[in-house]
Amino acid sequence: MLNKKLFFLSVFIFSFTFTFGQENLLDLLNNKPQTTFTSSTFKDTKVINLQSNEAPAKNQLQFIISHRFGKLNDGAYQLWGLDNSQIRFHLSYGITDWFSVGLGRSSNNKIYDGWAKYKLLKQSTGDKNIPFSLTGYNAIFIKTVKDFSIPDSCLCFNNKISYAHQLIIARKFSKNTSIEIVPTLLHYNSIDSSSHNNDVFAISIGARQKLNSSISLNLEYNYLLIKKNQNNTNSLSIGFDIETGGHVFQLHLTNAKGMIESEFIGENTGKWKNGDIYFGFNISRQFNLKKNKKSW
Amino acid sequence: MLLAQNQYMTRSGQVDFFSSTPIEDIKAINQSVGSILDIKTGDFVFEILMKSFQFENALMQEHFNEKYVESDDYPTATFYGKLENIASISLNEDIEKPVIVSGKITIHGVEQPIRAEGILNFKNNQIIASSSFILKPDDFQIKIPSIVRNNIAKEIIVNVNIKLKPM
Repeated sequence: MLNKKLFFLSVFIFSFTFTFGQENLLDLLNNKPQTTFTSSTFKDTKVINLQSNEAPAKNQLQFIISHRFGKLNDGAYQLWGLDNSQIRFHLSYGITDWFSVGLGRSSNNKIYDGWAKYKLLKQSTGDKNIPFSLTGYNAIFIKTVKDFSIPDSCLCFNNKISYAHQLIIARKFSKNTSIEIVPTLLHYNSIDSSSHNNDVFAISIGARQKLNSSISLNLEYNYLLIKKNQNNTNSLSIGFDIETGGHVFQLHLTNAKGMIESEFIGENTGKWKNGDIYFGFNISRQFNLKKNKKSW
Repeated sequence: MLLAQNQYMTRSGQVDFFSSTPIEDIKAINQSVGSILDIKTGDFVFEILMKSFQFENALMQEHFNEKYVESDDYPTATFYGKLENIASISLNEDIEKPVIVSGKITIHGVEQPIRAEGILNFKNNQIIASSSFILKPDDFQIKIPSIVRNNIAKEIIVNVNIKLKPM
């Protein structure tokens, strides 16, 4: 009985050995699953106004110049908004592959801002399967415009500050389609009237659909759950990412005048149906400050 | 066991490639290449995860994966083939032997025949193998947009350096 078993076992082993062809060798290599991290969920660090889950990699310096023109409903005299524009400069740097910092300045209300963005989880498949990526974002905004008034309180430094905290939950569903959901908490140290809220809570959704290897269609919607005041509206933006090799051009239409979270999420008043539509663009360029030493 | 003596394997082989044009040089390195060599039959296979190529610049790496080799659709490059005249190759301790490997290479979902010269050495119970050859992106239907056509060489130099251990 034992002999019979041994016989079959040895026949099995030998047939196994002799049928090992090249393809089987490839299968043998394949059998250990590797973890593949999902890359390029979004083309740039912003969907349109909203932060995407992307951030500059280690030693990468990113510079973005953004413009928003005036409202479409300003009419022919203002060339449908093109006579007016506001600008934002945005500089960020990857300290590590998962942690980046940045500084920005917007001409609207002369606001300076600084932020940190950090990757907590990276979407991956294979050995380690994580269905989505998780990125944290914290920003501080300092309003330096001279003539804004705060009733019943001083115009001291503390009252010029507001904060944004976001958790970016992003998933690349296929090589062409990515969606993110972003809960946002905003805090304003000062408010215009006691009927307003210091704390604003919003849920945002951002989506990207690649049209070809260089162009994608982007959409974002910021839904306010707790508004700063009752006049505030949800911002909706639609645009294209166009990649040219070194630069990313983002062209969009939006009902948000502001380009920072405290404004386009918390203080937006524009309405699409009234024609409060702003044409705008972001031009993004990345610079490699230090060559990747690990390779070379 | 018979199997253990004939087959040598690695999962940390090195493959690098180099593209040189007057405008810029592009280099990438992959240090997690899988390979198995059967010294009895001469069967030789490679598996390369495209996303494991490290470039000196994160943006180059993104373009490589997203636009050129389309790593989401074609995550691996593979080679399967044979060491020619395996019977005539005697693996002595620490003597470099010139060899010829021929087979099929698949990159970007396109299979092409390939034949390359290399060197094999048996040292401390490991097989050290190296080879250098040229691949053309065009042969693998890798489209280079006209805007960067002058930045990427028509012929890419590929270097393979692996140390195989008994399985």
